[in-house]
Amino acid sequence: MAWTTIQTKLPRDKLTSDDFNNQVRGNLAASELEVITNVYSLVGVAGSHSLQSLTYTENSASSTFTTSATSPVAIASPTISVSHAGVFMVWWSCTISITAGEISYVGPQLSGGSVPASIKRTVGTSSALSVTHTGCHLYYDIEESPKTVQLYGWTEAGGGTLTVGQRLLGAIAI
Amino acid sequence: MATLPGAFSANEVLTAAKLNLYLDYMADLAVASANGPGQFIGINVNTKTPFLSKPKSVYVDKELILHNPTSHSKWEYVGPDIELENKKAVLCFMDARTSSTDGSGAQLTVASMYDDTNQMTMDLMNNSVDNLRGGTFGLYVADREDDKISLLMKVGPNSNFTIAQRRLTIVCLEEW
Repeated sequence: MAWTTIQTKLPRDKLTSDDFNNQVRGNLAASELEVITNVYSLVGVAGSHSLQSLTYTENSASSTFTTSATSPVAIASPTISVSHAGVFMVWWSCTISITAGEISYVGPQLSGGSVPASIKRTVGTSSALSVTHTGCHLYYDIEESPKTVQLYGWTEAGGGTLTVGQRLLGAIAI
Repeated sequence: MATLPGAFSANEVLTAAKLNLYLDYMADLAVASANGPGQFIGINVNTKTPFLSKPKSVYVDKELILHNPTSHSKWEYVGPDIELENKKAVLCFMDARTSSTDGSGAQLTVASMYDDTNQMTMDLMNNSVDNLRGGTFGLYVADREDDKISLLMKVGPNSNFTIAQRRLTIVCLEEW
């Protein structure tokens, strides 16, 4: 139920059931106890006098991904769908290695190509030994909801093969 | 469990009993239990009650060298530990300095100290002989009340693994 601007009643005012239902019951119905119904959620602000669930979601995969491409290639799994009001935080963690001494990258991209993968939002390695790397990015001013988040991988020069193993994607709307 | 009281009908007289239903509901709101800064607000959706989620972080500096001369993997708790008390699901962040020699490396994860098969999904892996400082994150869901979690290391066959400067941070997302 939407929030009703709280009034101050005067001694001479006649109180009605509408007053109580709108001013008291209606506003309690907009409180966190009624609005937050998802598990793994914190309380967030959706807008003016409006609360929302900040629900954490994650998904993982352990299949091996390889590429020598020098532009971002989609890693099929995992993906997560984030319902948001314009702002959300994404974390990603993956074990990565590359056969040659050049640097390689893994980072997220949003569905629809509106915010493509970029080295500004990646973890990277130039090592041939598998090491887990973790990154975080705050997306804001994202108009469309929900958005699907997916990881992309690529190499700097194409001289080696990037291998991505165990990986985890997590997100929370803010 | 908080139950939103029924609506007033026209001409219904306000009684102390009916007003108390509303006052009792308001006493269950998060603002009534808020007691200081540095906390998030979570809602136990099963009991419809708020809880205060205060992030907790524990750090251990001491270096440990784990040696596994056997031909199979070995699990060992390396700390730090955190008692979950009434927390059912926590978002965990862990980081550590690690290096690996002589074998297939090691993996570090967050696990229950009562049941090491109950683990966070993601591992922190370092197959390098170089000392690297890295971290990972994930959701840990307890399968018992009053659970206790720790960093758990799996050391590969015929491997040495060094760990130091490790931190575990949790944010509660669900209570029992």
